[in-house]
This record gives sequence, C-alpha cells and structure tokens, in this order.
Amino acid sequence: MKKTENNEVKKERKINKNVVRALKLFILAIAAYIIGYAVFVFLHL
Amino acid sequence: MSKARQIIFTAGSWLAVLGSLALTFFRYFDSLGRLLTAFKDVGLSIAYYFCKLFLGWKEMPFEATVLHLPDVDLQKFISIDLSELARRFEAFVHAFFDQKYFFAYNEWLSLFLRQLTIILMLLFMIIALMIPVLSSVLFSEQDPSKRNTDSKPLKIFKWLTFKPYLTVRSWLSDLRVYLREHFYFVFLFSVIWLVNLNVLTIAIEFIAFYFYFAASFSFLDIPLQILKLLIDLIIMFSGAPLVFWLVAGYILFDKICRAIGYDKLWHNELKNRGFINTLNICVLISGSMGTGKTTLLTDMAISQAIMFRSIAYKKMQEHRYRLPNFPWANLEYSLSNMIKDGDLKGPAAVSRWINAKRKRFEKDPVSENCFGYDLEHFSKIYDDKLKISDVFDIVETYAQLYFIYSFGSPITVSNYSIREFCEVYDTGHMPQLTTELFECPSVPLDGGRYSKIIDFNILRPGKKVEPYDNNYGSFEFGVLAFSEFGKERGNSKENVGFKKTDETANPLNDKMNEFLKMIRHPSTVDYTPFCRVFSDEQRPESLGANDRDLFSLIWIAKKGDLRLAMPGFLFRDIFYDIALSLFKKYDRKSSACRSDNTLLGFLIKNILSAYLRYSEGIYNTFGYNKLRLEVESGRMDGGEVEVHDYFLSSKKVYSKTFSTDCFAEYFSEATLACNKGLDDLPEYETERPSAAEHNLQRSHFIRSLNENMRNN
Repeated sequence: MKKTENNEVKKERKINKNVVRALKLFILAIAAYIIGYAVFVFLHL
Repeated sequence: MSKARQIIFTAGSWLAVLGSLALTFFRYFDSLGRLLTAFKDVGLSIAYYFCKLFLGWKEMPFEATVLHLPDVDLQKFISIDLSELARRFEAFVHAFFDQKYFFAYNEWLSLFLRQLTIILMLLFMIIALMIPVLSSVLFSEQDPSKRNTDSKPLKIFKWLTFKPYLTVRSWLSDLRVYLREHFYFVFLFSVIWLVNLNVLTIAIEFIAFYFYFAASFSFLDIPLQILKLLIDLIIMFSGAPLVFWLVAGYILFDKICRAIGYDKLWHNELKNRGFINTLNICVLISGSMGTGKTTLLTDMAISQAIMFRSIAYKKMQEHRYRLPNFPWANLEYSLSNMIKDGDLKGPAAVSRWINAKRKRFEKDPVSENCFGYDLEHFSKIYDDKLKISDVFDIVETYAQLYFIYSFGSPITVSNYSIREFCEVYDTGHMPQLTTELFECPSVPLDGGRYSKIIDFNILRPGKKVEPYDNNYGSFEFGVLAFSEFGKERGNSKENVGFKKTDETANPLNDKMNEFLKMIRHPSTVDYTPFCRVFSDEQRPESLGANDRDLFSLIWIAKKGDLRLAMPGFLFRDIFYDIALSLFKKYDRKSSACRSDNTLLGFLIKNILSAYLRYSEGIYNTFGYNKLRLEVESGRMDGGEVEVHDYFLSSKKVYSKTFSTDCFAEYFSEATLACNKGLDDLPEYETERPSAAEHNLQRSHFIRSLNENMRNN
C-alpha cells in the first residue's frame, strides 16, 4: 500500500520562493527588453 | 447632507459636465470628428452587410468607409505625419531583424542602465547615510513613564492634518452619496470623456469592421485596421497626461488580474466538488493534529450543502420540460405558503400533501384540483421511454425538490458551528439563492448564519440519550458534519463494558450504525440521495470497524504553502515582504526602547501598515492551499489508494466560517473553575530533579517506581 508513512503530513518539496521570483523577474526583464527593442526600432525608422 | 453642500455639489457637477463639453469643442475637436466618422463607418458597414448577405449585391453603389484611413493631422499629436507612420509600419518587420538597430538598441540600453545605476548608487548612499541618523532618532532610549504621549512635532502634525482630513473625508463621502442619487451626472461625464479620449470611437470602429468583415471575409484589410487602431490610440493617449494613463492602466491591470483570480478560485471549487462527488455517502478525514482535518471537513460540508440545492434546482428544471404547460408557479405558491405556516416539515410531508391532492383530484378531476393545469388541452401523462408517469407523479417529485431547494434554514447539521453560505431570497417568483463564495464582502461583526446543532438522538433508532423530547425522525435530508466522530462512537476496545442489553443508551444499543447504513433511503428524492456525512478523527482506528467500513477514508498527505490565485502580484508581493520585514524590525527595536509616539514613527507605522493591510486583504481573498489527499476504503484492507488534489480557499473557509478551536469553550470553563494558572506550578530547583520534585508530578511511572521500592 502506497500510503503516507506514519500518516503524517509531509512538507511539500519546495523550491525557494526567491528562486521562483528571480525566474519570474528574469522572464519579465526579457519581455521588457524585447518590447523596448520594438519601440526603439519603430521610433528610429 | 446639508443643503449648502447639496447646492455646491449640483453646481460643481454641472460645471464639470459643461466644462468637459466645452473641452470637447475647444481641445478635443479631432476626437469629435473621429466619432462622427466612426458613426458613418458603422452605418455604411451595416448597409454593406445587409446588401451583400440579404440582397446578394456584388457591386455596391456606395463605398464601405471603414477601409479609409482617418482624416486627421497626426502631426498635431506626434512629430510624424500619416504617410510617415504608414512607412514605418511597413518597414518595421524588416528593420526588427536588422543587426544595425539591434546594436544601436544595446548601445542605448547600456547608456541608459549606466545612468540609472549612477542615480541608484546615489540614492543608496543617501539611504545608507540616513539610516544611522533615523535610527538614533527612532530608537533612542526614552523614559518609560512617557508611555503613549505624543511628541511636539506629532502634536503639530495631528493638529494640522486631522481636521482637513476629516473634512475632506466627510465631503467625499457626501459626494459619493450625491452622485449615487444623481447618477445622470456620472453618466454624462463618462460619455463626454469617452468621446474626448477617443475610446468610444475605437469601440464603434470595431463594430464597423465587424459588420464589414462578416460580409466580405477579407483578411487583407486587417493590417489597415491595425494602422487605424494605432492612429486612434495615438489620439487617445495624447488626450491626457502620462500619469493619468499610468493610473488608468494600473486600475485596468488590477481588475483583469482580480477577474482571473476569481475565475481560478471558482475553477478550483468546481474541481473540489467533482472530487466530493466521487466519495461514499459517509466520509472520514484522518491525519495527525494540526493537519487541517476540520478545515477540510468544513470546506467539504459547505460545498456539499450548496451542491444539494443546485442539484435540486437542476432536477426541477428537468421536470419543467416534462410538463411545459403546467402552472408551476401555482404549485410553488401553495407549497411555499404551507412551508411558511409550518405545515410541511420535510419531503415526506410534501409527498403526503401531494397524495392528498391526488385523491381529491381522482374524486373530482377538474383543473382547480390540479393547481389550475389545463387538462383539456395538455398532456396528463409523461412517457420517458422507461415508464409512464401521471401529472401527480411528476408534481410530487418536483414539490419535494422545491422543498429542498428553497429550504429557508441551513441544511447542515453538525457538532460544531459552520457558517451557512446559501441565502434564499423570496422574490415572489422562484426563490433565488446566493451562493457566492469568493466575490463577496467581509462577514460583518454580527453577521453570518450557522449550522443546526446536532441532536445525536436523530441518528439513534435504538436506545436514546435523554429520551424525552424525542427528535428522532426530524432529519430527512442535509449534510451531517462531525468533528472527532471516533470519540463519539468509540471502537471495540473503548466500548468494553457496554452491553447491548443495557438500560441506558450506549454505542452498542443506540443502533446508529444501522441508521448510517440506511441513511440514503429516507433522503432520496428523484433517485438522488440528499444526505452526506462528513467526519474527522485523528486515527481512523478510533472508530469501530462496523462504523468505519461505511466510510471513504481520506488522509491529508501534503499541505502546500499559501498560494495566490490572482496573477500579476509579483512586484507587489516583493514590496509586501520588504514592508513586512521593515515593519517588524521597526516594531521590535522601537517597542524595546520607547513607549511614546513620534512623528517619524507615526508616519513609518501608518504608511507601512496601510500597505500591509492591503496585501493581507489580497492574500485573504485570493489565497489558497493545495492539499494532496489519499483516499482509500474504510475497510483499510490494503486496497487501492487514490491520490487527489483539493484546494482550500482562505476566503471560503476562514471568513468566520468555523472555529479551528471549536471545543475551546469546554476547556476554558474547566480552566476558569480551577482558579489557578501556569505560574502556580512549582519550578525545579536545579538541573537534577530531587525525589520530592519527582513526587510532585503525580505520575503513574513515578508512583509505580515508588511502589516497587517499597515492595523490595
């Protein structure tokens, strides 16, 4: 039987909250970089 | 509201409306021109749509002007003209992949970041220099006798700000009331500014192209519409300062994020309901202390109570199409009057009442004896291709379902209080239910209606505890929720000493097991059992095997951290953490060295706590925990264990819904009666307890050690 040992609540295996935040910020920074580039190109055509 | 204020508000409102209208002609005349063109576009597009689709014309005697570029001088708004804009638009894709622009952009970006870094370094330096100065002011040791006294600057600040603040608040509150009563001002003002800022034009142009596209199906015209939209957006954004658009953009972004958040919470709730439907009628939740058993039990009971009413309603609708011309309103009116008068207590009584009506109808088969149903022109029977039912068969089931759906009291019966989320509103037509779980205001101080108190005798067909004032038979349908159910029923070891033949009631002779086994029967209406039993217990073995076999057994295997269903909170969440950390640091240091109030402390405390309260509100509204549940049969015979996810929403389960310490009052009475506290217990003298100190423990272990020593 694949029941939880000792019927205890296991802590969810957590990725550090700040690592998740850093990843999100990194993705946002890339998105901002691309949008900024598009605006830059349009203004300098 | 005073008369003077009312006059000022009226004058102000007219001034705002007329001023805005004047601006339409003097400042936003181009927007007005665009609006008139948009009306022309939509008119001609609708004409194009009808001529093409309904008259089948191939050549139109008119032109669909939606394909024309707006006749506005763009150089009024930006430094380039329309042809230049079109040229840039065409050259954009090619230029986007040109390395010349890519390198130029990176060069510009590096310069920008360099300047930004210099500014930030300067700011950091200023902050670094300010910290010791502020700390010396904020955290200097003060005389404790000055507790809760305001410093001079704070007194001056309060004197300067409190009166204006209260006045402004009172004016704003009155203005809100005034505008609610005179809504036409808000409407006029909004329409004028939607025109001024070109928003209405964009919406109308969209409708114009919608009609044109539906008839022409011309994809090649889409780029032109994007260019038109771009021009309209330029007009729109140049209509107000940047700060206005930043605020408006933030409000819109927040609204969208909240809508997504509510949507996700509902999605989770529906997944939970789907999971509850897969379980047995009796459910036992197990897990060690503090794992959230009672929280899960409460959440399931709330969802189930709502589900029962919505199932009843869905089934009523099915009955409505079986006899589409039956005067259901007459039946509902008679029924609700009988329920209000207390003549009908449950589905069984409803069934008996309908049967009495049937008998009367059989004696005298006229329309009046069948709730006014037109028996002459409409069918008296219904054939569902399984069996043939007569009108009264269908009416009987409908009436029972109506009773459950419109039941005015909570349908949850429990041994601790659970807030009822369903509210029934009598509108004179079909009663309406409010079952909003998430998008609702906070529960007021005296608000909330709670579940019925369980009288366990209603589940005891055998011997009853205190058998006078017997309620057995009163429970026909509903949700039964029991916390610590094993302690109520006991297992074979705990029930040693009880006998079936005992004169007084005990778990062996009260026949509650038999009742739970048969509970589906009295509660079934239209093949659906309207009864569910939810319970929790730390160890399932605490419940005897005869009871436990009936249950689906749920183990709470994992409980995830609090997550947010609302997206777009990343930056606000980072600020929340920073604000919380600053507040705690300030509070810890400040409360340790001074008890008076300073201006700087007042400002820090209030600004930080305002932001913390806002963030807490977001977490309480959109926060949820994901539980990993393992479900097995109550037989505990090593059968298959199914794994499911369950979502506990903070807004649903923590808004005065139940008390996590529901048995606290019982213990506090014992504590108060004792009249002693922790401080009254003696302390150990040294690190090694003496024999006398051991004896003070009144321990079984020490007592047996003492007895052994005496015997030896």
